[in-house]
Amino acid sequence: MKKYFCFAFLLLVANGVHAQNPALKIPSTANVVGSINLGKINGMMPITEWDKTSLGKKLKEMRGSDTTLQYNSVQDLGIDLNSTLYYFHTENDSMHLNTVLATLNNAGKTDQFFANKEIVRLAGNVRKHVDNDSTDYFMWNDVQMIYVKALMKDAYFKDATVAQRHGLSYNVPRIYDEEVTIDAVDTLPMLMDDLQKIDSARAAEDSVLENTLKEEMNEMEDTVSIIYEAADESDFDYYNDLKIKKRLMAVSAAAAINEFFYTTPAISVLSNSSYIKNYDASAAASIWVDKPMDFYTSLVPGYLLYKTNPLNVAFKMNEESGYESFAASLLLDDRRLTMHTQMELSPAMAAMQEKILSRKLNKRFFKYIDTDSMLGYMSWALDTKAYLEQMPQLLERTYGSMGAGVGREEASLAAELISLLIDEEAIANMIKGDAMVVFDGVYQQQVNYTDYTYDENFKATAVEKTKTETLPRFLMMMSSEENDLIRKLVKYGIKKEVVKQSGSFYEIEIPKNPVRLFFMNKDDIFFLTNSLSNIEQISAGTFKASISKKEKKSLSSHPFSMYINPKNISGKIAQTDLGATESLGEMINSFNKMGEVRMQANAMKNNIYSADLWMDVPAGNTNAVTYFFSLFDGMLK
Amino acid sequence: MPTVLIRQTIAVVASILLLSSCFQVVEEITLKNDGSGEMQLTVNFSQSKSKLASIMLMDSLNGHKIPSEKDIQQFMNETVDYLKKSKGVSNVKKTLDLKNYIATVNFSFKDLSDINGLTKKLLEKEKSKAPVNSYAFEKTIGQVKRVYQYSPAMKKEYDKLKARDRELFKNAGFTSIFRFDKAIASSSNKTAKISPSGKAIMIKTTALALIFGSSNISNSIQLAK
Repeated sequence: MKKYFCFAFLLLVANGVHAQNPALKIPSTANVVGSINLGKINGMMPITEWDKTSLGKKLKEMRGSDTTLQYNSVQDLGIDLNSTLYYFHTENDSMHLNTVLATLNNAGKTDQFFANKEIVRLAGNVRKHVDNDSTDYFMWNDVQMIYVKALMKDAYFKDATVAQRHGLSYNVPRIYDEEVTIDAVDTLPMLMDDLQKIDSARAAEDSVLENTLKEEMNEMEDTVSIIYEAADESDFDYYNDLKIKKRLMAVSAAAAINEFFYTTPAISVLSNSSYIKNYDASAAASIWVDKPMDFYTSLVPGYLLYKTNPLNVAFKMNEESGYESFAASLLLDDRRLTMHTQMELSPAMAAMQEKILSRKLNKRFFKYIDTDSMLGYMSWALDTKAYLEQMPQLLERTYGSMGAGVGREEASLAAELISLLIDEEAIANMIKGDAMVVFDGVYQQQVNYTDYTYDENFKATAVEKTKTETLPRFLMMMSSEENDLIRKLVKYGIKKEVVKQSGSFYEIEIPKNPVRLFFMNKDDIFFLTNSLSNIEQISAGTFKASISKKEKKSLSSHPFSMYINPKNISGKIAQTDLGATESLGEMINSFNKMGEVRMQANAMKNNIYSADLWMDVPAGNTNAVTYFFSLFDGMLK
Repeated sequence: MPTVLIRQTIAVVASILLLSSCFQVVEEITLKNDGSGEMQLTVNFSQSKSKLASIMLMDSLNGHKIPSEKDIQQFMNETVDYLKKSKGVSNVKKTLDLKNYIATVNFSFKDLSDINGLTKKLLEKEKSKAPVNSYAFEKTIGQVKRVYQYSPAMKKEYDKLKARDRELFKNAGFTSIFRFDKAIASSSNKTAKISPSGKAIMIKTTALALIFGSSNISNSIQLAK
């Protein structure tokens, strides 16, 4: 099975346009649509070069032990490497259908890829390959290829009536006071009957589809010789159930691939305003998920966890969770690799989030940031009071829709109870919600360790030796008003000898803690650092730092920011005595190969909450694609 | 929130940057003329104590669950219980220094052969494969034999580890010491070093040499008549 997923992945990573845009084949009911612009990627790094990369080699290895697949290169798939490849997910009450659409420009190569597999040749030069358990279907002609995999929703088949109808034993109700007899069910004819009814209308309109469906059914009748046994109140027949499940999936996959291959939906996803709004034509790859919480509840109890959550049936979560759609796009150019994600919220949810994100980062933090020397930072700005006030509703909407055994009413009750117990105002004064951690260098410290010396009879005596360790230096800042609770906590800490006062700052004495920790509250900022010199300078007001305008603007305008400067990290480590040692040398080399990394959450706009991750392309790489592959090279080693 | 954040920040950053982790295993056997004696096993992680202290602040690292101090105590207690039930073993004692991460177990044995298979069974209990390692003392001829047979399973297990996890073994060492009542006449292992007193012998090697099979700690020691 794994090899088919690998192939489907290859299809995904290896697109364009046939006579028409393949996306027109994606029905408007699809709730997940992904695409990879192979043409864009190929233009930046010829796909012939892929095979030479670690990722390309890994894909080759993933073919695994199935040597019957004729694959040596992405090019062997026959896919048009200047096209766009699409994935989409559709579902009904009982099945998830995963489909990949690819444009071919050399179907001869595709035939060759499957040369050692059973290929069924259909009318109109259409070829089809079905895997052993008939749940994966490939169908192609000279211009397009479609792959479909059906996965059943276990929860649906847990329903006693449905289970009985299909001859599944595991959910037959057990009644102990009277004898229950269930007749044997021959599932296949019944399913075929259903399928013919469902498709008859379309088939009548399309003679090609009609003939193909007939061929499918005949073929199934010829090849299927499964005898379904009667379910009994005390029997659990795993293997028979498995056969029935696979057959159900096979029938769904067969119907779906015929539909997708031979017909074009009356309304495609290109008419879905949410999809169009979120689609970025310049992206190398993108994914869009409609109503993500609904998708989550539909997916999780099924094949993700591969177990059924019975409560999901009991608590149907169809009410609005507040998340309208999610989309992510990968943008690649010569200078930068950007991952843009965005979540469209309902107006009510967006209003709540806007209140929470209304706080800005404390500008007084900037006095303690030195752009040139910092290794990286992380900052976030939330309004604690607004968050705590909105929390009951957020909990109700989020957890009330997750189907994790908690219904909306339970989540609402829990949230109200929490709200009663906490004092939002008091907490918000202590933790205002904006904070920042800056890594501004490394320092070395001497540590003792135990070694042994041996006497003339090799009797060991423990001796203490010292060695030097290199540690990152950090400064954490958090907007906070000093209050009685904090003062009492500090006093208590001093009494219990876990806090030591040194002038206007304190040291936390945690036994065995590898780093010294200092803290103080000044100008309504709570400072925590592992650098004595930092805290002394903060205390004395002599802290020297200079922040760039760019950094200041970036920090002020985003509710969340993260920045890593790998060059500064390697530079600081290399300056230490240990910089030349072998183990740190490898680390320095790794950092030297990386460009700057930034992540930022953007302010809410038109009910859309978005975030971007940027990675600058470092010198030595032609563009973001070659850099992307080189990153994989490092990871796969 | 801040406490958890601080703990996690320190733990993650320190565990990433503190690369110089290593440990030492020391095995000491004192053998009397009648075949009885004492054995002490020491596992010393003190050179990695900063890193371990950081890691101990986390629940898991690289996908491995980090044992709590309670888990470590429990493992030591189970080891002692196991040894107490073993044939010919008595006087079992343990020390556990969680400040420096040093653990020792020592015990007395009636006959050197009583310690055969002890470490193997202990490791098997922890689902680790151990190489064949046995001891024998021929009192009549005054010969002590240690037979160590390299197990390729160790390399396979090592190869399964992620590069970050393999770092732990890079500078790890193993020391084996035998002490006797009589002087040592000869020893078959060329890497073994005889003490100035002539009554003790030591083999020092690295964990990687044992894992890759490039070092063999087998030895045949002939005691003076």
